[in-house]
Amino acid sequence: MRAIQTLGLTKIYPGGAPACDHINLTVNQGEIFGLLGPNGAGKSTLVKMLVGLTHPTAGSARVLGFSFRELAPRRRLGYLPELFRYPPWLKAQEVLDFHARLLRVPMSREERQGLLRRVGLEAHGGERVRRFSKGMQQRLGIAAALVGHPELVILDEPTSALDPIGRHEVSQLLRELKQAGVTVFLNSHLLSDVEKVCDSVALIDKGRVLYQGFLQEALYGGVRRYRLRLGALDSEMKPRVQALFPAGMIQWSDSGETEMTVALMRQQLPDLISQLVGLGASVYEVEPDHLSLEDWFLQRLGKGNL
Amino acid sequence: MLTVMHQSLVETLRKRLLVAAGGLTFLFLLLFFLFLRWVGKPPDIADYAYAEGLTYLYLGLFAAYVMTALFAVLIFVASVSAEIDDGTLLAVLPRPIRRFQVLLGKWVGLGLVVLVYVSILFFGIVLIDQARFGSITGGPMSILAAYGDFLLEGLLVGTVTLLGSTLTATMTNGIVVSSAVLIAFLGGSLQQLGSLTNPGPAFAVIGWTTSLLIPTDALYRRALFQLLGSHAYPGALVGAGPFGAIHPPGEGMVLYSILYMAGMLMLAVWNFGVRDL
Repeated sequence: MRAIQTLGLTKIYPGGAPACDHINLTVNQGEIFGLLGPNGAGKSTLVKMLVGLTHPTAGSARVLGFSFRELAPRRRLGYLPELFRYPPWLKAQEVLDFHARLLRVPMSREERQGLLRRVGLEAHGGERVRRFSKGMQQRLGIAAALVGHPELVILDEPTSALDPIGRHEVSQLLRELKQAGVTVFLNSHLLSDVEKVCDSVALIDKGRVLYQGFLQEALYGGVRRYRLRLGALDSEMKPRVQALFPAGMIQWSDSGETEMTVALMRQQLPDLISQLVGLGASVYEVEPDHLSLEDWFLQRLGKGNL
Repeated sequence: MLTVMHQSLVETLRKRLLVAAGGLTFLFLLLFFLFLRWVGKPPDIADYAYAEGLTYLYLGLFAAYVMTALFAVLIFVASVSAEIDDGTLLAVLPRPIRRFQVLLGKWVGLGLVVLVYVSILFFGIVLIDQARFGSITGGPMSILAAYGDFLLEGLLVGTVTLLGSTLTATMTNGIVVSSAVLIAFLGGSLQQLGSLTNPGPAFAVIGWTTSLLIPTDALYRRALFQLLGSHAYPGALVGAGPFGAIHPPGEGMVLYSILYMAGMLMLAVWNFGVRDL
């Protein structure tokens, strides 16, 4: 089942270019989904449309099986805004109580304390929000998003104000949510965080979807570089190996053993190895060049090279 | 809606707004009380005591009129715009609650605060004046009618400010609504002066126009008139000059004010509903 499905979702602000231009996205239930894109790509606008903060110019969306214009999906949805502040005169525990009342769900003291513990604020429940650092407010925001046991949690930059320990804890929390069957929609600039936890991603730029799919597919699919270490090739074998590849695809590096770098699809790798072995070459190592999400991100946006 | 209303009430208490405003109001009432005590015992001449009591009552009610308007502006001015600016509403609106419920919750919650404030201020002034000068006003119904006008004034200013809060920045809104109330008072005062000094229609037109733009002054002057009931000696309302009510607005103006307030509230609901955050 799909947690979120958008169909041609479009937002054009008066006098401006489309912030979101016919966005078609699918987020499957139970996965951690990462929304990526540069500043001004339309990510926050998309998120705000999904939670009803911004009205779309065209298109539609279904959230947890309901139209996103209905209140029903919001009863099962938790949301952490990017730039937010809770009323400074409230205590942390009162913020959670307030959200429980908005959801019309009962919340016991133990449950409230459990939520605060989950985000590392168990000792601060009685403190007023005005005394909270930005990181503590962000933790409280995550706890508020989890009030009422949501099926879908939409987190807009949840770790932007957190230190590395906090970021690690949030990553851990997201994995726990996934294990509990909760769908997580993560909008984050911190690509290393996304890479750690996300199952699938979408990349948008200038309001358009450039890519949507599994993260592993993004990082390990398509043409990639592989470094092969072969035993020494004699002069007779070398041209036969070379003939396997179009000109320029092999970079030779002779250091006793033969080292070569090839660019090909992952699916082509077994064939290549069997051909090399068939020619009598000894294949010692096949090592993929590491492609981080950041490399992939820059490459897809035309800012970097593979 | 009740959750937001409750939250608005808690906010005013937590921010010590009520404590501060209540404290200053009690201070004002204390000063008014002491002032009337120090004025000295009025001569035992019926009309003189009455005129003196009425003058001080009008003085107090003019202060109440200004304070009510300011209080309503201050309490409503940041209710939406500031919460949008600092992101408070961004965490609330994605919850299963319609925007009109949020807005009406705020209106009812803050309206109750205005009600408490106006009640203390209005009845405080009337009672202090009555205690010193005897029965200046009409009966309980006259007092209640005047109180209703004052309350309506406070709620009307609050509603206009709420609309402004959905439309514009906090400071702009505060300045615009405060200025509008002031302009309405000036228009109303010119109308009163015109009635005394100039038979031409210009002053009346100014008064009517400003009253239609924002009928706060009309409500204030109607309250002055209502308060006296049948007690007014001839010329009492004339004697107060620009602070009096020579031609008090009728029931039509009350109806207009109620419709005006309802219209402003609906406009606020609509504007908040279609606004992108």
